[in-house]
Amino acid sequence: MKGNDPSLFGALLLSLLVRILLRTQTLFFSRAGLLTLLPGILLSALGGVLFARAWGRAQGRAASLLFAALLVFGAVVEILNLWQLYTAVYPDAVSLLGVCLTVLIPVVYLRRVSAIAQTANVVLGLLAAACALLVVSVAGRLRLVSLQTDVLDAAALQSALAAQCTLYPELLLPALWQDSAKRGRHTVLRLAAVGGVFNIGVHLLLELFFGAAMPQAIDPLHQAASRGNLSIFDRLEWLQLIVWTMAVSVKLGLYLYALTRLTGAKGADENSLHGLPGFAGGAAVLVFLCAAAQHWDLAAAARLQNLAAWAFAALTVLMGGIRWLAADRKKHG
Amino acid sequence: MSNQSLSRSLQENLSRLDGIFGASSDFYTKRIRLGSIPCAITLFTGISSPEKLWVMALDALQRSRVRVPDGPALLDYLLTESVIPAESTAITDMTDLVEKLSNGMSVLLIQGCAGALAVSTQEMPQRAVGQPNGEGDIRGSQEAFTELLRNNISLLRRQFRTDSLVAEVHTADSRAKTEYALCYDRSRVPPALIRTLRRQLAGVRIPVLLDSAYFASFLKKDKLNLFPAAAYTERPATACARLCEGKVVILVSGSPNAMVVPSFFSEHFESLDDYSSGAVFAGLIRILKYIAFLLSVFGPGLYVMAVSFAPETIPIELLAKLARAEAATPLPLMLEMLAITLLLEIVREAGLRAPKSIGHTVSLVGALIVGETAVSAGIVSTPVLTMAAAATVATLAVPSLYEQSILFRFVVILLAGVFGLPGLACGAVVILAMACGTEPFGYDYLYPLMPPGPAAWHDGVVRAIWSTLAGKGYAVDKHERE
Amino acid sequence: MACRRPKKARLMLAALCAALCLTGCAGKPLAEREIVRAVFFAREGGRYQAVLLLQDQQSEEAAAYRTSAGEGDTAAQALSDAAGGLDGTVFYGAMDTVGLPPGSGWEELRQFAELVGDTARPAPDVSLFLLDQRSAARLEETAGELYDDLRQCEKRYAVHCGLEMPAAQPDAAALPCWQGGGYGFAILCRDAEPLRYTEALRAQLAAILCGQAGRLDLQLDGDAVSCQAAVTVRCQPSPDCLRVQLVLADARLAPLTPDAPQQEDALRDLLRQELETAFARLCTDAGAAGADPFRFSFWAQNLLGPGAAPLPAVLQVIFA
Repeated sequence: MKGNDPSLFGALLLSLLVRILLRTQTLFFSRAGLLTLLPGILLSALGGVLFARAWGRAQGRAASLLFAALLVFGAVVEILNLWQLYTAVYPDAVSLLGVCLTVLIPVVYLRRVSAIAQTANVVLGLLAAACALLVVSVAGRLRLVSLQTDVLDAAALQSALAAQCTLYPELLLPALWQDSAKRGRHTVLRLAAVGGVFNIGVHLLLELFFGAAMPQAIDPLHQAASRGNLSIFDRLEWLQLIVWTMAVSVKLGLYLYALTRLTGAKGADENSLHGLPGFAGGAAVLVFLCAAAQHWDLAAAARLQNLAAWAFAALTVLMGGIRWLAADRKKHG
Repeated sequence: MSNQSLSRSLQENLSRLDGIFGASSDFYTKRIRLGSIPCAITLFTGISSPEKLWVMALDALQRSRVRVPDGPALLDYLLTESVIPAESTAITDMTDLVEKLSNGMSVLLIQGCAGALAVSTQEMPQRAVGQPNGEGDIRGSQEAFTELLRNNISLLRRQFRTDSLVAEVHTADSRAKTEYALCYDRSRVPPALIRTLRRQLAGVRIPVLLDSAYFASFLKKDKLNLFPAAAYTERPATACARLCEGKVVILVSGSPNAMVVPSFFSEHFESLDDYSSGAVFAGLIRILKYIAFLLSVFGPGLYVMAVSFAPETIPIELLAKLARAEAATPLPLMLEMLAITLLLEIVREAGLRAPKSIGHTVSLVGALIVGETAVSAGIVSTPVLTMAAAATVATLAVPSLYEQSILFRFVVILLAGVFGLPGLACGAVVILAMACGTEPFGYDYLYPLMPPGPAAWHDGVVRAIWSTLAGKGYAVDKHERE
Repeated sequence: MACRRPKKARLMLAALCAALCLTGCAGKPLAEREIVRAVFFAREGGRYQAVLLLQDQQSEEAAAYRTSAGEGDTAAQALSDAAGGLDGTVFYGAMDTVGLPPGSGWEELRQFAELVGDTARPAPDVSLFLLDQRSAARLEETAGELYDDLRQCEKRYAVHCGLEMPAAQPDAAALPCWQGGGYGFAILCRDAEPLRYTEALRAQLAAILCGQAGRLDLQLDGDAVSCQAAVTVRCQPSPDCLRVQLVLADARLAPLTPDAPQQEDALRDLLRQELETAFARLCTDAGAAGADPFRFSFWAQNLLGPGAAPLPAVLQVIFA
């Protein structure tokens, strides 16, 4: 009952899942995805674990700034993804500034670890309920024969593996909370596993729904949701949109909290309220960056983000390794 | 008033009192002589009874022949040897003297002695113990707290008959020196909680303290958070139940509302009747209350969002009707909803504050103007009025969250009206984050609803049957004891 | 410093209020929206016509409509032209029927589906139909009636072709065709002539096998026997053949003439025979067109591995 040790695992998981849900296009057919699931999970988890090990030693001002930049980039891509979805669904009704404000205003109340953790747990519950509702509402339209049975070649498997080896920023964030009470044990592995399985589940659902046309579908999950029905309720995709928007807000809360830690608030009491002006400043920067990046190709941006995350992780592991070797030599010399 | 010690001179003490209270017509002094020593009785006639003083002290003193050489010896005799039920310690300074007099005690000042004797002769004008006004319960005790602190403590003690009940009385740092009491079960309350609370309340400086709710904002960590940091009850029975959970009940002199800390979100959906009626029915009622709260907060906003931004969510038959209704009214939908909600609040406020004799007239006129005339004149549409009225009625199902429901409703209408779907999501996550960020004394505000666990089904969303509940009852210190 | 904090807070609040005012987000009043119930396309002389069927918001009746027509070189232009002639903003959120020109092929069908999907977002559960031959002018005249008929047909025969269905298979697309009173069925193949079934039994069986219908409602034996049943399809692959089980629940077979068989068993045999004949014809046609509209190859490939040749399909009619 006493919330002294809130775990951020829920927030990290929610943040990762919403990335998968808001993807504008699918990445692979589920058979190829299933075959490459395990190596995908292991590779992503390995990247995250090595990064977490190395971060303690490699951490410095430059590394922190790079990490912060990666998070800001991720936040911008996420807001733009959401905005593009809203623009497609409600053209002329929602502006970029409107979406930015609606996802950033709640962050004012997410300035404490316990608030982020608890809110994320509730939203995670809502997200699970929304996903279940989505599956139930489209269940009548899922056709087994829509699964694609083409011969799998090396290229298909390779592209599925490449798509699954995504180093989400959420797999790097646990490095910031060395204390396992803040995130639980084997966080990175659990995140990679749940994320990978969820990703496959989403692809499977979409393939059962769209069949061969799945790769061409834009905002496929939303499209599927908009065609589901439950009893007299025909249109339930607005519920999905609301929950996804809530999840993005929590994600931004988590990112901004991580940013405050990366930019120097590390020593502060973890569960105390962080200063409002700092958060407002961060939010203003995000709005500005979103405005500047509104014409980006988001699929390319997501690929770039993944590439940057791997490069940053590799650099950190390299730096950490060098420093460890240097420290070891000093110790023995 | 400086904290002066009492003088040995009776005349000087009387002069000082005369300087302080001389202008007050209810201030009463009378010089008397006990043995050979000049003394003076002082009291306030409205709150202290000379008759009681006579029965308790003066009659006994007159009959027993007091033979003491001087004032200090007389005070010592009265404190330690005589049968008079006086206060156990002597008054030594003016602050204490004034406080005792203000509390309705009679004070005996003695010549040649720098101390005075207080006798409890209070006879406060008071309201009889009545029924609670704001907490409707059918079963259980029908007693309500009154304005007198001592009476309230005794009402509590009468129901909580253990040696572990503690009622600490403190004086607030206010102009009126109002007393408040911290009541708790020593064996169940977490020591850290009572220490923190004692410290926080002692640090409160407030010009006037008329109700326990005045303390609430001082106990909040995040001042931007609208969820209440404490719960309130008029019922000693409810307060007693909270004491059993290891919570602290704060009573303030002059207020019939007890404050309970820490308070959790789910408590707003509980009532005494839940535990008297069957578990299934009680569970159903609780679920209905949760739905009512959601309807009251999100209903009008959802309507505005659906009609203005996402009409596809509305079945086509209804959509055509709504379109016709909307076309007949001049205001944009969001403004119309805001105006109606505001008007309903004005009617409610007027009905509440107006003298009872015209309260009904206010409601009648409000209902006629809003409900009938405005619709027939085409100023507002029937669907909007229906939704606003449904939300207002739903608010009353959870009266303790009334303020929050109203404020959240306005915010949600605004956000949904300006931003549509993302606005509604923004409102939902803001409210959720507020609830999750409310940490009364470090406890999870959403307990037992979150984190999800069996407790939510024992006494949270629904309640288990008594035979199960009796063994699973929770206390705030459960984790600490484990 | 003490007075800087509230100043900062006031500044932030002012910035937030200004931002809220400048967001440019705005809903549309319902009265300013033109609620589209259906869109019908026609093609005449190489040009496309689009007819928007709109809900008449002034009328108390639910089935009161208005129309707006437009034309253009492409379907998108025609749709835009039809929408452009209206006072309010077009709202496709309540649109549940799309009628396509009768001569549409596989490629065209996918384009129409894409156009409706992109333009009409957010669209509800749209039903696609190929229309009968009628002129654009007549289409505009009879749009309301046609819409009601299509809805009635969809309800009666439990037939539905959603927006996602034409593109669900890489080589063929299928959809019902409106032919007045009942429905026919068209299988549009990628590289072959379309297959059209106007006879009720074949059309309904094809729709059922494609997963687009769930009821048989027809007359057999030269209108001598009426048949109504709820149908589900189960496929049971074995190494040598694919058993396609047609499970008929609540089957109601009734003779309509004195010459027709009167016994239930005889009626069932008649239905079974007719279904088997129709099934064989459908399979032959599909094989000749090189298409697999019923996805029978799916089962063979799952059983025998990717790339395996389709198994011969055998129909089993089961009365539940």
